[in-house]
Amino acid sequence: MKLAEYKDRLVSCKACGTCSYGRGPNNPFTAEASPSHRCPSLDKYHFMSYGPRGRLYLARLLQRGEISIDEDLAKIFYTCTDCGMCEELCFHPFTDIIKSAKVEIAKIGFGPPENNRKANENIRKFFNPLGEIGLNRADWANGMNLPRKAEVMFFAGCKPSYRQDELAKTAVNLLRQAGVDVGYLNKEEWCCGRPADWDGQPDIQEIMAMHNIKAMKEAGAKEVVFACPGCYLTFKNEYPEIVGKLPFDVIHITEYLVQFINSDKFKFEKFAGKVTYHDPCHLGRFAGIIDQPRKLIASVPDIELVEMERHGRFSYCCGNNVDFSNWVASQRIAEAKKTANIVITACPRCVQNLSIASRNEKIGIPVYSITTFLSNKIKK
Amino acid sequence: MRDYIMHILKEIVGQEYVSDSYPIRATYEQAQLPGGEIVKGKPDVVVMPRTPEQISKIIQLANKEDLIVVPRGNGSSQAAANIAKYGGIMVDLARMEDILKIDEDNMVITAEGGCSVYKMMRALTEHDMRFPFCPIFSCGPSLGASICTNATGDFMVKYGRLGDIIVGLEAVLPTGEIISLGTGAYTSGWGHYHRYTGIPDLIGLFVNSSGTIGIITKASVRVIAKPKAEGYLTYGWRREDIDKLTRALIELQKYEIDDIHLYNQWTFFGPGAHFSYYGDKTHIPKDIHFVPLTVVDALNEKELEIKLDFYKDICVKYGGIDIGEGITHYLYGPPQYEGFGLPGVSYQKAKAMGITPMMSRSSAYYFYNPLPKFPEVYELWEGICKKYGYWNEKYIPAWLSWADRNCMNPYPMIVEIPINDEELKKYAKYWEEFASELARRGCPPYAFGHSIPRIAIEGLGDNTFQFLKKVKMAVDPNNILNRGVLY
Repeated sequence: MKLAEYKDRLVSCKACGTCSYGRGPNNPFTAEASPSHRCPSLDKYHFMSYGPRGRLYLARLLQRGEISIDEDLAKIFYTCTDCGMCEELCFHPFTDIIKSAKVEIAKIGFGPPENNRKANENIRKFFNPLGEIGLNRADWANGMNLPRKAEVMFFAGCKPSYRQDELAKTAVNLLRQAGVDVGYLNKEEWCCGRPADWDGQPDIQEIMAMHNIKAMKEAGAKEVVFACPGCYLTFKNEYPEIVGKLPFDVIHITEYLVQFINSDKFKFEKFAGKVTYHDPCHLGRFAGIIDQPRKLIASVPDIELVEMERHGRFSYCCGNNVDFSNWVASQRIAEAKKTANIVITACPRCVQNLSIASRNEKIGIPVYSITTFLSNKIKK
Repeated sequence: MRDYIMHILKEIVGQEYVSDSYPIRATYEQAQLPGGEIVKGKPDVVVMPRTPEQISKIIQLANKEDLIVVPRGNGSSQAAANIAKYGGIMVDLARMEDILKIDEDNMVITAEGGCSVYKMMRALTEHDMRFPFCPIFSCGPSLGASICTNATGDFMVKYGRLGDIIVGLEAVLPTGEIISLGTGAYTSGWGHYHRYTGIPDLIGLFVNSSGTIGIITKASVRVIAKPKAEGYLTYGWRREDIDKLTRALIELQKYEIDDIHLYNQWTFFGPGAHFSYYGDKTHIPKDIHFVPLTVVDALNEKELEIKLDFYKDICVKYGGIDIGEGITHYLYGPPQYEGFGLPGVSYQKAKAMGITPMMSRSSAYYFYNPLPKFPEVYELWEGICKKYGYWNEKYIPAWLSWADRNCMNPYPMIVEIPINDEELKKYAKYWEEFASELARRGCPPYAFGHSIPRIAIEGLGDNTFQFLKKVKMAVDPNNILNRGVLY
């Protein structure tokens, strides 16, 4: 939506600050309060402007033409990590409004930041943000004999395809373990386009959407399974806005696998370790997939699954892809370290950010994708 | 802001915590409505100190350069006292947010001035304790600002407002000195366990001070043990039975029911009203005009039963119609609790439920009135609402009020205010007229600030106002702290 279409919504913010500073409890008996730390960019920069309340107000000024776009304004909008915590605390669709504001900012050249701009151009040119050659996209699947047509198709995503092949391979292994004849688009899988859309360049996402949907149709997909929450959410929420109802179901791999945990398909080895699960924002808060990954982890015999203070709906971000991602990830990994000995998550970006933070901060806590962890625990 | 001042400020607090960038300053110009649209003012610079010593240096600089200093907490800003109407240095306390001590034996919690009250409440819950009253202003109000506005909230009947439970504080005065008040001021003593030290109550000077007397950097607050049992009862009254309702409220308050939160029908039935989200789950008959939501707590279930029966008898005696736990349960009771007031549900959750909730453009005026005068005050408000064309579903005149220990703390609001110049001018007139009439009758505002009519302070009489001015002049000879709020 264009920013102008949010006009009423923008003036209906009464600047209460719940989005930025949290909520409740008003009643000590039912104290489901939000965590004490919330918006990552507000945590980092502290100025109210870097929190959702500030951004909403600036979007209001922008929509009314009462503020001019400059680098400072662009920075405020481009430091939102898209974690959606504010939307858990308040009625307003902050992330959609921020996205619309970024479209205005990008139009006149103050955004996206240089690195993102390059990545988005890479999506346009090479169909992935990493600037990799499209032909190599399916290298991870060499030797796996994945058909290009199937009723259940696997969408690997860019990071697993080029940087985290283990994540993609283990996802397919688990699907096969469950007895699914899974297919894969091979080099016809393109980036979902989410990074560009989030950066205020929705036209790039539209191109990706048209292609991916066409390719899935041609592959005869009835269900598409995702290992990346970003891609999953894009197909689930964004693509229908572009093309209408999709001709296939969109399913995250944890949703898919959880239906088999009580069957004889999965027999895991015992694992007497203390693990914690980091909810990816796009999977937990945005898509409500909170219990499924936990059920999968808990199905490993003897495992001790413990929660960080911030989990589920109120989970903290991994830092996504902003200029202070490492800072956010280091906060999160420190919280994980206080809780458990192993972090499991279900998102390639989270795995990457948290692993780097664990290494950089010398925290030394291993971070696994849920598919890798479970795949390694399957009884041989 | 002049370069050399920016340079000094950066030296004091660190480069990354000072900004005169336009978008950053712009976000600090807004208060909650109507301040958000009617009272505005950008600071010249925003500074985020970490220590009282840094604040002291900023204040000394401001005195030297004749710059206004405006302290700011988390910005609930009900009275627009934290708006830099005349520019100056905005001192945002967001970095001073640590809980310093939870003293379980003395039942005192100590935190920095910028600490969210909700954060403190969370921490207390883990120790099986709670704030005596529960401030529920929309955002997590910060401790210092809550003292400056003397925050109100649920469960005030027994324990009063925030100002009533403070036992100690530390503040930076407008001249830069850092002072400590309460027993904690004894440098080698046993800390903050008691407010009174045998001298005049200087802590009281900071309560409701709207940031004009000093910047509160640390405070200690008395807490209580969490009650063991809790129950709810919800009775309704028709509009014509307001006198009976008032009698019931007086009786309930007399016997210290734990919480009374009174609403009128618009609150529940208006199309964009606060609780329309709850739909027919409220079970409130259409002819019911007033609904006081009440909470009762007790040491155990047995005591709870006795208390509930006692309070029910009072409601029945004065014509209350039993409407079940209904809305009270939905607002207070586990497990349906979703967070009180605005917002009641998250956007993500609402989206999953297939609804698109729209927040209202509400605006409330917070004040106090004697409980027996409730019918008169309600009639006054109803009359003014009708005069301005607000007494209808388009605008939704929602009455909300808490019970304080011996009075009523209403915050009636016009829920839907169209944001355009004509409507805002009309609303500003309504606000002025209502607030002024209340002040003339002896009803003080909740706090004072740029959006509160002068009569609310000056109506206290010349002597009182002049005395207040003398105190302010004594502590702030250059009137640098929140200039224009008091005078």
